Amino acid sequence: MVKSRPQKRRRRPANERQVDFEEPQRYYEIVETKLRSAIRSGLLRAGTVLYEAAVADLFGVSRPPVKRALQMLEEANLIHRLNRRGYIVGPSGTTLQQIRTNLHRLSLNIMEPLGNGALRASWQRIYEAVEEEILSCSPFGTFQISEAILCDHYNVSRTVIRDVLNRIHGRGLIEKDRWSHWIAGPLSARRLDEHFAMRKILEPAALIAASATLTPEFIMQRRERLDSSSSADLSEPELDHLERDLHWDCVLAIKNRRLIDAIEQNHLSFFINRQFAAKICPIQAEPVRAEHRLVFECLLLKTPVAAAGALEKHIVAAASRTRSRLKVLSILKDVQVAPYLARSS
Amino acid sequence: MIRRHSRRPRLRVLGTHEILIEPIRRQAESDLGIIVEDQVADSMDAVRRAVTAPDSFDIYHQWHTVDLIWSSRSIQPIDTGKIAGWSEIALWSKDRIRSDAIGDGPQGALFLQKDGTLDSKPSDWASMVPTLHGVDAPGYIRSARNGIVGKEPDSWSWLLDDRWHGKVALASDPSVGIIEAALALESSGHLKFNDIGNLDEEEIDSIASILIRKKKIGHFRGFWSYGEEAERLMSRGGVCLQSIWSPSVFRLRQTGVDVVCSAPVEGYRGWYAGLCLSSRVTGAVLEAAYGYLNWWLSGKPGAILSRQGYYAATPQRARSFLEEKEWNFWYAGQAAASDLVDPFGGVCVRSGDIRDGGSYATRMSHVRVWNSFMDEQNYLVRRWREFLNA
Repeated sequence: MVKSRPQKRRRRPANERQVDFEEPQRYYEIVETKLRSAIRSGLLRAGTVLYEAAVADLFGVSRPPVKRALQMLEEANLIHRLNRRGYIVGPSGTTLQQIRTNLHRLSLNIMEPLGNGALRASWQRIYEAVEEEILSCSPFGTFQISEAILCDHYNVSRTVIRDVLNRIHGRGLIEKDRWSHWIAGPLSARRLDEHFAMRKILEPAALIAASATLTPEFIMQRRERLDSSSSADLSEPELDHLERDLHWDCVLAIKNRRLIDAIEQNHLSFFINRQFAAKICPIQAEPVRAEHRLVFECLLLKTPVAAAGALEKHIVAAASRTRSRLKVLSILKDVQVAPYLARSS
Repeated sequence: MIRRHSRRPRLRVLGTHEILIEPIRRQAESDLGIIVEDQVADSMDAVRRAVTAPDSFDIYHQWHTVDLIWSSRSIQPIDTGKIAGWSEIALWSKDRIRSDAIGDGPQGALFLQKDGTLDSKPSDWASMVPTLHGVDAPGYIRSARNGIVGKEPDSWSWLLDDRWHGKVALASDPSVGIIEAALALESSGHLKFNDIGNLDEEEIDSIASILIRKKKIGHFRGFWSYGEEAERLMSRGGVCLQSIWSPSVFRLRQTGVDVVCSAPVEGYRGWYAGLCLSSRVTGAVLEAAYGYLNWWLSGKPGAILSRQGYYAATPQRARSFLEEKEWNFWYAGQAAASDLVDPFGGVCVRSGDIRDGGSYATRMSHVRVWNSFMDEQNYLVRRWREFLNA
């Protein structure tokens, strides 16, 4: 039920996170809200027996959040205690005929919060935000990550934070110093080169595999989008769209999850260019457009090997451009970072 | 008065304290009939402004930052056909002084290529017009040197040598500082580098950890961002050995501090400065800017700054604006025939003095490494800042 990797989300600058980051709903809140509306709508009729185990099974969560949700409903006098393990729908003091029903047969629309990702494992809900914040600081120095402040910042447990940090460590973005503190940055040109070297090996192979599934309409749409603007400069969102059209939508249109994961682990380079566009100056559009266009055209001509070759050349050229941009980031100092990151000295 | 001024083109020139001096500004205004507004900053602040605010200046008198400011699209290419004297520039003229220097040499990122990148392959468009160059090495107080290291030959290793403990200062500019620290560690035998002009991540880490330890045990007495700070450290701050720039050496001597610019056996750290045009400059201001660029190669400003120890990009043109005795001291390595003055008119060379390190040819042929913005520039800046904050 829980997906094994973080869901893709349109990335956004770290400093906007506070504004538009949607506070994830907790399990007990989801259970409570769903049951409350089912009781109010009459879907759960007065007298219906709600056992903790059955509700937990229905939502696919553990018992403690269900227990908490049922206690809240009891406090709201919407249900009352039947015995140690169960409740009856309806206010206390009423005598109702018990209705024992298979909860799975009620249409509670549980899939909706699941679809929104609200029922994702706790670590998944904050993973991307934390990763983005750590990436944001990494070009600008060495930062120590405070687990305690990170817990407070996201209002989650130490266990969840450790899970998140271990996964970020697995991506090679943080490491432990000899005092066992988690450390982020500083990002080196060599690290960046390594990411590009991996992309150069993996992405052309993925594109060849993906080419069979990419329809001409799908590719034409992307090529048209490329040519729809002739502006000399690309802002951060424009760059993001352009990169997604090729490096996500086309290259990652494959079924091999391991290959997708391996490629995504090397997406640091996009992040550097976004930082550059946001903090220094817009990205020059022409080389990126010309290189992407060539890949699309080769795909339209049904020559996947040529497309892969064009993609490889693009990655090599992008590596050189990105390396120069990382150098320019060296002039920035005192950048704003998340509160759980402390500059290390 | 104000009306008359308003008709004259105005050029905003960004640069460092050592180059944008008042005698230069006045001379440019008088020779070119323009208004020159200097925007003076230390080297790091200047490049920061050049990258982030290209519309705040018209000309950037930079050193070794072309790579960065080209990537940030802060500058526009210069039509070398409009630069008289381009072929006479000493850094690449036929009779240039050659050395085995490594690092970002003067022509590395000089010419615009068809693909929009900069390279050494000549084209009609250049990223900068070189104006000045020179060599740097640690400066020391003569009496202290004799007491501490006796007659040993000058060496970069002294910067981190325990015998100078508590009496050393470094430049806080990371590009300058890391190369000088690397030269010190290489010559003392502590570390070996694959390419001292382009240090890698591990090499930078090794340098940083040694520097941080040295700092914590009190080896360094101070750090400076511009010449005057360096001078204060030596005249009143108890510093006896430090990285230092030529104008500071001659200013300190005027105040009676007997500073020597060393001639390290390992060779010098070479540098060159040049003018870049802001990407935002157009029209009449652009024309005036080309006038200013040409004026810099005319020899007159080169002559003025030769009097503080710098070498003009076109030495022979500068020579015609120098007295023979000045040329003989600053360029030919001969004893001064009389007292000589600096650009401000103060006596900075006494009759009979000989320039430390010798002639132009001797000094420039001993460049060990050019100032460089390395591939790992971002990484080294971050580690360097950790050192300064340690």
